[in-house]
Amino acid sequence: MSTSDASSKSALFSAIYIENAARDYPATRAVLEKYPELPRIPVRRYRDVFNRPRQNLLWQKDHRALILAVKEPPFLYPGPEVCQDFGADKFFYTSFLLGCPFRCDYCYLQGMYPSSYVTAFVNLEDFKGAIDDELARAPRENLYLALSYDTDLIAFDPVFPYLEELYPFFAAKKNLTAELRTKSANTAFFARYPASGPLVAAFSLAPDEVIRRTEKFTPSLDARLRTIRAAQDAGYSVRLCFDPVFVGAEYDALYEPFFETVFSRIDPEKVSAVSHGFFRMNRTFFRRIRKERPDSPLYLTDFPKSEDIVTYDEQLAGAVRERHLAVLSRYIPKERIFIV
Amino acid sequence: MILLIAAMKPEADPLIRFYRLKKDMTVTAFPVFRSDSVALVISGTGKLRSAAAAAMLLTMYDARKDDTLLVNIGFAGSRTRSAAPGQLFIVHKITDADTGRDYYPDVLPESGLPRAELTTYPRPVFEPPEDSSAEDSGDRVLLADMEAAGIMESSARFLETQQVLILKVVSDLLSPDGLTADVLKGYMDDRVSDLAKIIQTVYEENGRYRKELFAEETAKLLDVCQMHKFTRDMTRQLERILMKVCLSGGDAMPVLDEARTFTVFTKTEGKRVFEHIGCQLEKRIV
Repeated sequence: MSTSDASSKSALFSAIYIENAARDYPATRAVLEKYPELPRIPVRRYRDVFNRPRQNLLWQKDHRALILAVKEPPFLYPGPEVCQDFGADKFFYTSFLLGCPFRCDYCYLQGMYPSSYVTAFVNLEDFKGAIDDELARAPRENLYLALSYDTDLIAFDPVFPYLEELYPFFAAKKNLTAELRTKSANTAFFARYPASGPLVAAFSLAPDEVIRRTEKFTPSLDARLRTIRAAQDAGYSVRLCFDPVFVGAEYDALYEPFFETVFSRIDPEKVSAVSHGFFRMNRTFFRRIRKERPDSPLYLTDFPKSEDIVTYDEQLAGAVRERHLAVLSRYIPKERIFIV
Repeated sequence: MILLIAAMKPEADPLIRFYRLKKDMTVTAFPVFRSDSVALVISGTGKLRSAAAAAMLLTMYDARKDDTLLVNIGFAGSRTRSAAPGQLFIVHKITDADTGRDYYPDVLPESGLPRAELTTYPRPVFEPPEDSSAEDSGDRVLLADMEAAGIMESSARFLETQQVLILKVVSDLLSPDGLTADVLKGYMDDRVSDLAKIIQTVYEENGRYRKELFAEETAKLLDVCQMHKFTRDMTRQLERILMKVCLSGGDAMPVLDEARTFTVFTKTEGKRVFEHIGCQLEKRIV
């Protein structure tokens, strides 16, 4: 099984839970046709499986199951302050999936969701309706919509191609920027869906050593850089996300050579924006994950005591940021570098 | 520890023989048979008895430790004609016919067994009952028993969702004509080595996801903290440093051994010892 993307091989999932209300949707039928050999488990409400108490998230990441469900409103959520809105009037995100195909140590979803089984919502028309409503509410305002906010839709594409439905829908939209953020190495995706209308591609990048330590099952830096070039070749406006950045003796020497590598492989002229943000997490999630992940050194780190957000000491982070920005600004104009 | 629950003696006997279990004469509430690593209880029929027996086992063997696997092994009637008597299934959905509540144990895909859904009824079922979901059951196998829902309800308070295993051998197609004790014994005898293999596979796989890491070092540290009357916060701080040492491959034992030799009389001395231990542990991070 390829670990770089949600492979089409059924070994990726061990079973499919199907919410009763989701049974007759075209998306459900498409997934079930793709995986005819997998056990199917009917469920009254997806939460009956997803919200069970005492689930072992790591066990579930290694023995994955898929939940097909119908999302109830709301379909759009206001973007949080700790995330970059790239100067848009309105910033929203949407969740076609709960959970993510990857298994990153620093992911806050481990503290937010009780399950790591991926839940895929099949009522796409409802999502489209909500996006239309939001655009109609203030037609002159620019809406920034993160489609892959807390998941990776492109990595999930081989399981169910959400973009097949959304691509023609987005094509004619005005005053909308729809961001597809990914760690995937799915180059075929960009060949299949060349740049169109409001779609922008955002790539999360990290030094190989950080990927090896903290982003289990994700593609290497080299594979991601090749995918970025594929996206650029397909006409995409590409954003680079250096986020989360880690600070510490074992990390500090990694980033500057990494930035050099990135821009030696990618044409900076074709990069529309860069975001830079340090590791940060809601304190409640952090505490929860610390209990669940005794194997992860990240959650043993002594971060400064603060009210809500766990992150690095501002003075320490500031010095590192300055060094990083000095390198980044050699390639990208400062006005296109966004600090989170 | 592997904890087994069977409702009746014919279901339990082959397992008692296979695991060479001895009756625990100190337990009187239910018949319990045990070895060093396996315990089996015969609960009697019905979900209340099975829930009580499960709770008793889970309490007796301190199931909050994450090396517990609770297994229900027993016969089930089949509402699906393709499921032949004697066939073994792993259950991935249990419905309590009384309450309508559903339970979903996380099933290890590597078990390789065919899967089934199971409804727990309050009394024996002799013909397929009305069930709206049966009409669109497709290739699903639907079984019926009288215990599993009780075990799921009970275990949910103690165990994680992958720590419960419901294994059912089909006894009949809800028409027990000609079903004798010898026939049932034969089905179970035929399946006992398969059952043991599955149980071992699941037990070993679950072992990879235990959260109690470096138990020996942690126990020694807690002993030190108690000895020197460290506060909870101080203990937690040292636990974190200890984890860092262990995860890095460092050896914390010499520091912990030394820490046990210190004598602390005052709060100030305690604080000094605490800082010394933390400092020495930090040096052990590789």
